[in-house]
Amino acid sequence: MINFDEEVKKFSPCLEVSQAEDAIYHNDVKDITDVLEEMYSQINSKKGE
Amino acid sequence: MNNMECLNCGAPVLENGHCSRCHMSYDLLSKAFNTSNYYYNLGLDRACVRDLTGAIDALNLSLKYNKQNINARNLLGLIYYEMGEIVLGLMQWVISSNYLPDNNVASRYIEEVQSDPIKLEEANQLAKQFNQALIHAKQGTKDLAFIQLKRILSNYPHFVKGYLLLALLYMDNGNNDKAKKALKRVLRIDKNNTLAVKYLSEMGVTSRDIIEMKERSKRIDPDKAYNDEDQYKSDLQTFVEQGIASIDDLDDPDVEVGAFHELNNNKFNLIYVGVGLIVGVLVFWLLVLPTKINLANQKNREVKLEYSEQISSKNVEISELNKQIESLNSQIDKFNEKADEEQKKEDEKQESFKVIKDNIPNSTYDSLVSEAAKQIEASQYKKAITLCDVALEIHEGEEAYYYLGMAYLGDHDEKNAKSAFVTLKENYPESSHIEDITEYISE
Repeated sequence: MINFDEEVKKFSPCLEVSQAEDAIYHNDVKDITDVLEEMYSQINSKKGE
Repeated sequence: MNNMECLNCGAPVLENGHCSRCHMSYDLLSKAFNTSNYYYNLGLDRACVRDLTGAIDALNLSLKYNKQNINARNLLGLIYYEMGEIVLGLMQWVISSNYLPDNNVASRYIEEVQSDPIKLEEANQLAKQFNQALIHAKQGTKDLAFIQLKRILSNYPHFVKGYLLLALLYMDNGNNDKAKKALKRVLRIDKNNTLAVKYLSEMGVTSRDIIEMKERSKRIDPDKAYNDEDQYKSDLQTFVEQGIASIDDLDDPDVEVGAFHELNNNKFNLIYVGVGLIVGVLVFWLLVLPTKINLANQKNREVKLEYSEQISSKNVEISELNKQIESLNSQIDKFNEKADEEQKKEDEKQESFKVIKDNIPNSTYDSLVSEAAKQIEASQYKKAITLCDVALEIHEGEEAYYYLGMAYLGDHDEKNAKSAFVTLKENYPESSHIEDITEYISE
């Protein structure tokens, strides 16, 4: 049985135009390249130590 | 590995298979980019069969392997746009055009949206209204949430999130039929919407029926959906021809998605008109009428003031006239007093004259008459008339009348002469002068 209060909590608000700029700037979704770069930089920093 | 460029930074790849600049493994990046393209293709396939939720999942995965996969990002934006999440779509296209400024279809999408500021504002309003409806739903004011959602969906018939929330509200309200109808529309836009399938299953819809619903999926014609005016006219005509029940008949779950909420909107239009009239009357009653009454009162006060001024000026005139009347009355009284005094004096004179007259001897009369006869002989008729008058004042006598008549004759005053002779004849018919005067009387 669906619980209305629980279900309605799952709905997220829509993005408004005024919030779009912030959303774009804070869009820090990482892809494989980012992960690899991070790994390489960690390895290099360890090597330097 | 010769003549190969790094997929990340474009620098030459070394013999060991790593980039000479960023040291990334070419094979690893190549596999990641291939995987990204694979998921993009998957997303594209799903989008083509209207499995938009599946396509979004695949495209998000594609971007996790390669966030610079322009095609995947553009398609993701397009799907968001199709589902009514216009700002999310714009966001993907802006990021896409940032990665690839030239020859990017995302730039055209952005231009198209931005070229119509009204549309952009409408999209913004859609987001705001949905957020407001969501707040109402969370706070328990579900009626307001219903109204807000119906208004949104009448303008944006492919706004999936709105349908889902509306279906949830209907389910909570116990109105499963309408909930199913809303979810059916969701499935027409997004075949594999997991939330819609979940809600339908909860309501006891079989998998077979759900599949049937999915098979009917087709794209909504936005032009048809936005044409409220035509829809309104159509509904109005149906209403006139078949009555109000026909409007409910139109609320059929099998009608096209674009017509869904316009019907409800038109039903509300009648209520809105009624409410508008009532509000108009109230505004007139509460705002316009008091102003008019105040104006009328002010005019009345001005008229009263004007009349009061006129009355006061008239009163002043009346008081002045009364004063004049009083002064005239006093003058009249004075004149009357004077007249009385004059009369009194005259009476005294008359009395004195009478006393004198009574004391005058009879010889005087005779003397006056004989003197009058002498004057007539001397042709002094005026003097004779005066003497006779004086003699008659003393007392009447035939001689005095006779000579008076003769004196008038001599003075060519035949009328008075005749009068004197007539008096003589009437008072003294035995007089010796009757014969002499007969010819004058007969004339």
